[in-house]
Amino acid sequence: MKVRRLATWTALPLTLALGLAACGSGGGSETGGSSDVIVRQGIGDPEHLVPTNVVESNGSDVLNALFTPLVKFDANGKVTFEGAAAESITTTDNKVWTVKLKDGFTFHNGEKVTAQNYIDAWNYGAYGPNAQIGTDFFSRIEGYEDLQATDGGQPKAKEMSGLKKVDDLTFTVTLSKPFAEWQKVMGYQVFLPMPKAAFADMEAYEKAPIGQGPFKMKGEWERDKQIETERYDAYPLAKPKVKGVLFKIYADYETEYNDLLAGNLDIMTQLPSTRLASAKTELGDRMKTTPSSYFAWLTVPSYSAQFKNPDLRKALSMAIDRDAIVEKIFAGAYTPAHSWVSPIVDGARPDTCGEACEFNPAKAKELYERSGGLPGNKLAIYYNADGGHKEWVDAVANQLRNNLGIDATGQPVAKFAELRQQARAHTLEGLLRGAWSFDYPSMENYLTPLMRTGGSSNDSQYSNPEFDRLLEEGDTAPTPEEAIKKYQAAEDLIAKDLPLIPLWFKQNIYGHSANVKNVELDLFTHVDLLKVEAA
Amino acid sequence: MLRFVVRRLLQMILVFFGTTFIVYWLMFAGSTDPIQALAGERPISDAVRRELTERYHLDDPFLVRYANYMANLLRGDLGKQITGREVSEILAQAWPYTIKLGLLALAIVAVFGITAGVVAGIRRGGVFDNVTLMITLIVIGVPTFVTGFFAQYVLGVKIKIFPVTSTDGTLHSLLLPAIILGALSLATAIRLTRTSVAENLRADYVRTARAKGLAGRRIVGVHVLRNSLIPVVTFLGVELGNLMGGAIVTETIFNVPGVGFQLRNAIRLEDGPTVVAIVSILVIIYLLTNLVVDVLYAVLDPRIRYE
Repeated sequence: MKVRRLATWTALPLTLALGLAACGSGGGSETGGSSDVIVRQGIGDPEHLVPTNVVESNGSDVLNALFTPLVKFDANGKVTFEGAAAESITTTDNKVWTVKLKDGFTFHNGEKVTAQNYIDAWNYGAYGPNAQIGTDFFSRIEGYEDLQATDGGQPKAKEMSGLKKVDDLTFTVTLSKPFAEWQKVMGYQVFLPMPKAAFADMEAYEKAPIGQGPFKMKGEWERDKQIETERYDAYPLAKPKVKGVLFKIYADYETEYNDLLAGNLDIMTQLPSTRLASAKTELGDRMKTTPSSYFAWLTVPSYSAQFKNPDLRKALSMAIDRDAIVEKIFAGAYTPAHSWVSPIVDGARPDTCGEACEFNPAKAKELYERSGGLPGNKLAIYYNADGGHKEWVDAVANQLRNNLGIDATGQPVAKFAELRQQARAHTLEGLLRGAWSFDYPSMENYLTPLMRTGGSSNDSQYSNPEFDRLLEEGDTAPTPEEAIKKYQAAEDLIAKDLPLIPLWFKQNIYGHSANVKNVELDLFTHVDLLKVEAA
Repeated sequence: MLRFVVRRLLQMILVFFGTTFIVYWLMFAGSTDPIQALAGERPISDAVRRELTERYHLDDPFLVRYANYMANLLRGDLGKQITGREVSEILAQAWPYTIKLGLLALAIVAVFGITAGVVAGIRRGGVFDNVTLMITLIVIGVPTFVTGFFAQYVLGVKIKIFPVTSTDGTLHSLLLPAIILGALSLATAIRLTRTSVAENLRADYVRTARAKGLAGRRIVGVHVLRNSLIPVVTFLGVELGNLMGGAIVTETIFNVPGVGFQLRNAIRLEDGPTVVAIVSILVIIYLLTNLVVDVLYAVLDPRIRYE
């Protein structure tokens, strides 16, 4: 920091002496060759850095620099092996998948990356007693159950029977039942390989993770301060155009944004919502927007007798003016949703909800009357008070009150964890706010967890045999294209029942400093660190 | 004197156990689901939930957990966060920041507060007095997160005379947070000193001193100041604890990874062990500074004796 300030003071007279217009921004660091620049990206302090234990965005951003995933995705959400660690992934029956690795990858400690590294890492992640947060990603692999502890005892096995090494660069993954979208799942960071050194001492490994990606650790993870990485010269694929990435750790978005304005930070992947209005002038065209996988809705409890009537559900949905809320409250940071799958996913269609998601207060009122209404005309909308949701929930409640003449109110629950507890218990008699970001870009990753019978986040307890059957057919379809057709057919069924009332999709709004250019975010809102270069 | 100190130290043990019990109970009663707090908005698998619950004894009854915690504490083991990070390691990293920040703020409060207070007290009703009165009123009235972000934006982003964040912990970078942190105490210190000085200036001994021809500088500098400082010293002593423990907002704004910063994170993550450890140490600091203040009374005023 001190050095940089010094550089500014020496660079300033120099620029003046050369007769150039002083640009005013405080980056003296770009005076050298352009590939010497270190990009400073803002994050929060990660919870973990061991890949199988990372599901939150901060740790994920760091892994994005240190590792290269098996598959990557293009802008349309389709699988690509360009820039990925795998050469090819093939299957004939969607049950046994053969992964062929690209030759030439080495870990940052020099160890050659082999199929065994993947197998070891996945077994570590799946082994119950290791309590890795990402463990359920492995649950589709054959033998996963044997690695889970039964009551009080030790698990039966330490290795999943579904993972088999063929040769140094090839291994097969056998699933317990066919799943057409499996190769997309393997793009998630939980499926990254780990070197032998990791298993010897996982705690030491977490302090300075050794990956096989374009950047390697420089020193250790300085908790609550920073994580420094530098270009890995033995990286076999296209090399990054910058010398390194310095992850600066912030506890507060406002502070991080102020540091970005002051020129002490180069990339901020999520601008604070309170500063969006002023960011347009402060950052100009350095404020950018990309669509994200985030989808928000209101859950209608299928377990409650009050909400059984489809006309009632439709009335509630049609009484909400999504456009007005997006414009007035979110300042354009969201787009209204008329479907259940984010538009960035392959196969998503913009309007599967049809009339039910159109704002039509007269029709809504009519449907509400016809449905017999709610008992006492009372409706509660449950939300967590710690996530900044009060404003829009109150707006929705207002619209329902005005358009349907019912007594709708927002019901805050202090903490998100508390709201989840109540949602899991399935006892709430009212609407419940919900949101989801995908783990892998597949329609299946929205439909299964949210609405399939027994889905992990099926708060509504929606259960539709026809819907389940179509998803099952999609999962076992011979090709991804046919799978998508089945998933689309399944999505078409939901509009009738409306277990979730779609609200909006999030736009990801990010910004960068004048020191760097070509800052692009991918589907996972990771910065494409291979494209970033000095401005 | 020695007996007094020993008695106070013995009382501290009781207070220490009482406060840790209350804080531990509060954290226990207020926590809903620390494992969910760990995973954010993502669902968490039952296997992981079971394993973590077992590993961190999350389903034990309150008294068992408290007894375990205290037993470990007495052995010098502060426990682990649910992310697996050692609490002792967190504290070792955080305290240097907070001590530096707290002492810096206290120094600012003491120097500027007493000086301005004395001047205002001597020239009561003058321009200086009225202006400081107004400024301190404003400072007391505006919440810290407003002054903090405002100062950061104006002085850090626009004028660039201070760094925006103080993560590196150098004195220069800690100066602005220390001023923001101390501002509230500064206002109180000025007002306290002013009142005390003004009152003492009218005391009999000052009239006597004047009558026997003592120089005004000596009257104020030695006699009045020494008598006026007793309430101010009490205030500053208690304030040191406040400055260290109450820096939650300031440390977050300026990204100082100190104790307040960690306390905020721990509360957010429903992380009982860290909160209790930090609060316990803060309690000890409060108790010790109070003891020092009590002993200082005797130094300032020889009439005060300890039995």
